[in-house]
Amino acid sequence: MLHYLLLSSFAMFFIAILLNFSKYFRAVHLRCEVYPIPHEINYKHGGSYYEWSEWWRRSFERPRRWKLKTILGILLINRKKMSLQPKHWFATFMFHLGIFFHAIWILMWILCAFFNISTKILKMASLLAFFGSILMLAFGMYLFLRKLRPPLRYYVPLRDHLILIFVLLLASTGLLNFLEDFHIFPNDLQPFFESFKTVHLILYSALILSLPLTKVTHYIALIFTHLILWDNEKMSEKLEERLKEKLHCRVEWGAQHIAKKTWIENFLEVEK
Amino acid sequence: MKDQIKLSDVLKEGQLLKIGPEDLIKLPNYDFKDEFKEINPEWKKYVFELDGFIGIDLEWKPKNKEEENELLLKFTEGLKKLLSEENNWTFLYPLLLSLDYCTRCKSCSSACHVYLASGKKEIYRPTFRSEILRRIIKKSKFGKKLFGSLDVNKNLILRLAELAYRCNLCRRCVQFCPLGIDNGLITREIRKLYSQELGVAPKALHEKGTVQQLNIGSSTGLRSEGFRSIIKFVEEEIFERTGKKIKIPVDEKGSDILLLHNAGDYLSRLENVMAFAIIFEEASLSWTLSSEAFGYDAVNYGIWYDDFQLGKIAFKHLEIARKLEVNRVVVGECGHAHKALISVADRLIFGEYQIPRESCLPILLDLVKKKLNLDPEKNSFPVTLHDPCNIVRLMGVVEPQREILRKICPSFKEMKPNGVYNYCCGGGGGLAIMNSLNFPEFRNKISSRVKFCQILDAFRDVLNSESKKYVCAPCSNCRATIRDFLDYYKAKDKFKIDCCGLAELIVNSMVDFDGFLE
Ligand code: SF4
Ligand code: SF4
Repeated sequence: MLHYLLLSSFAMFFIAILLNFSKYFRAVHLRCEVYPIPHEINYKHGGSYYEWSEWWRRSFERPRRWKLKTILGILLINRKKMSLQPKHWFATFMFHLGIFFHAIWILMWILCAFFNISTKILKMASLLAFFGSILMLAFGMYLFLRKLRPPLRYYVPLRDHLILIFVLLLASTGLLNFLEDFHIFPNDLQPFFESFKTVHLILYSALILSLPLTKVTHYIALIFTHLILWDNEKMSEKLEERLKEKLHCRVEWGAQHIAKKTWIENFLEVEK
Repeated sequence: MKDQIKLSDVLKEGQLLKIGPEDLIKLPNYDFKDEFKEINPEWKKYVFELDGFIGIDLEWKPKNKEEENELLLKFTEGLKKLLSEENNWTFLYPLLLSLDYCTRCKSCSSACHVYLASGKKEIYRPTFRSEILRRIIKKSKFGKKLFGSLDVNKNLILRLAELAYRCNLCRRCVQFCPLGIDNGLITREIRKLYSQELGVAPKALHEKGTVQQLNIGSSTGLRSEGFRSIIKFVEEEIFERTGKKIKIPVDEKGSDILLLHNAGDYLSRLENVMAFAIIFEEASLSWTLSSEAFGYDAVNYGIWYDDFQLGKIAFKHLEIARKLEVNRVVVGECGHAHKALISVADRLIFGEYQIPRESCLPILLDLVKKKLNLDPEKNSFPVTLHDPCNIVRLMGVVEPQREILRKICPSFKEMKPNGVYNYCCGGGGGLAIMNSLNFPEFRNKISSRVKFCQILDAFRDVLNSESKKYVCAPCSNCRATIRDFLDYYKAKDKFKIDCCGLAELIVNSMVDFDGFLE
């Protein structure tokens, strides 16, 4: 039963994410790139094709795999934060590592309901999740306290505190659950601690379900923000078609210098 | 006035921050005393309630309840339009992502020169203004406590507008944000809301900037006739300085290149215009200037505050190129004009207006490598390079200018940090041209301070009044900003530091042209 609960939470999570982020797939916008851009040949010094005179006459190959490599680098290590805030970087890295360990166990646990997975592997995943819970608790606590101190306190809304508390709760029930997995409690207390697995998994499902409503999906958002920051594609026929459509939208801005006409009519200062 | 300013403090009456000399970061190797004057009481009719500086030189404070309600109404309307696809497809998606996913980790703060220079004053933190916008948007959607929403009142509206002009739009902060949240872009969107809905923007940018340019052809007020007589004067001046007779091509149809300069260069310092003419003629390029309205002023201040002014001016520039039937447009040493015409406008124009456009820097490099006869020893003085954000961080033109300097200036030394991770000169985002009331004080003391520290550091081994030294800044607005703060910090007298363009240094090293920089 709990397997199905978790599975459906994951399914709903993915649907919500898809709905939430689908608008960014079809987005057109003006260029607002910031260098260095990983798919540029001159990436090392942050250069672009504009470094060549008559750049439009040159053909430049841009290895797209760099984009993926850089995004993965940001997701996994995040050097930028490491250089500016090493302490905070370490805490968030450990916290996220804990979440990752925990997620591996959940995945294994779901899989074992449908496939025959050796108990050895499950035990290892449990051990990983146990350490994961410790990391989540310790570093989550640090992040929570950090957010309570000024000036961060003035920036972090209640919702973000609540989510972190939820994660800390999850880490605590997780910890008890994994301790129980290793049978360290006296036998007569076993049923009491066993119930933590149920509580833990229900909490986990609830968290997964609520994630699309929170900022926690920043891990997905950062892919889109970087794709925008790295978008230095020059005008093409395909792009022109999509842009023309936008330029023919009517605008309603109230300032005197903007006519209530389309974008292009404004640009060309077309009289009525 | 408190040390720890909270977001909700923007709703309150009175001046939010008063900054003093003790707050500013110390200058390296230089004991300089900044003086802060009390605000002129007459200026209190402007919005001074943020930090005592006035960026928006309009009297737009509501005088009664009726005007206050109208202000609130317009602001709310503007907010809706900012978030609607029809009215703001240009930057809506980057804006939404940046508004929705900041985790308040604060990594961006230590990347911002304004925040650092001010002694880490809360209101200059890159996220401060973004967070205000975020919270007033959330207000209309969800619960107050849960999301920490802010109410909107007149104090918030007035202060938020000023706050949007305490940022150079240099976008260094986004390079250091692990999530790619763009506080510079959010700031420009805030400026747009005020300009496009309320008609509120600094006069230098709007009334005397884009509006004047669209009416006359140049934000400087320079007209065609004036331009032609300046060109005559430039030719005479070149002859006087170098003994060479040069005929500057103007309105020559069918030329390969249309060269666009920032019109400010025709009016204040002609060296850069002269240097380009000498280099292009010496290299026998097929090029022309234009004497038609818009053709002699590359600037496009719309890039800093208004999408509509941006688009209108970009079309005007390309209309000139189309009429002159040139093969390409080359933008001279003007950073924001580079960005506006070469890259941002790329997605606004199409068809016959899509004429190839490029930076002057790679062309100068080609000429230095292949066509010009140079003697680097003529530039033996210490030189450092300022990287204009618009050309370097935001367009990726990084190497050509340094390759040139390595070839023509034997004592060239980089600032730290440099290239795409440079610091803004402090004049970015339009602040360079906002010179009314007490705003230059903000620029010189706060937004330019880190750049001045970098310059002092680059010249630390030669920081004396004996030898001349140059900061090379291949951008007209950066040069104006740097010259202004070198004056303010008395660095010209004390250390003989001056600022010049790249083309001037090239001409100064040309074998046949003696003492050009003198
Ligand atoms: S903008 Fe980026 S770096 Fe700055 S606080 Fe937000 S997430 Fe952190
Ligand atoms: S864009 Fe530049 S000036 Fe503005 S907040 Fe970011 S770093 Fe500071």
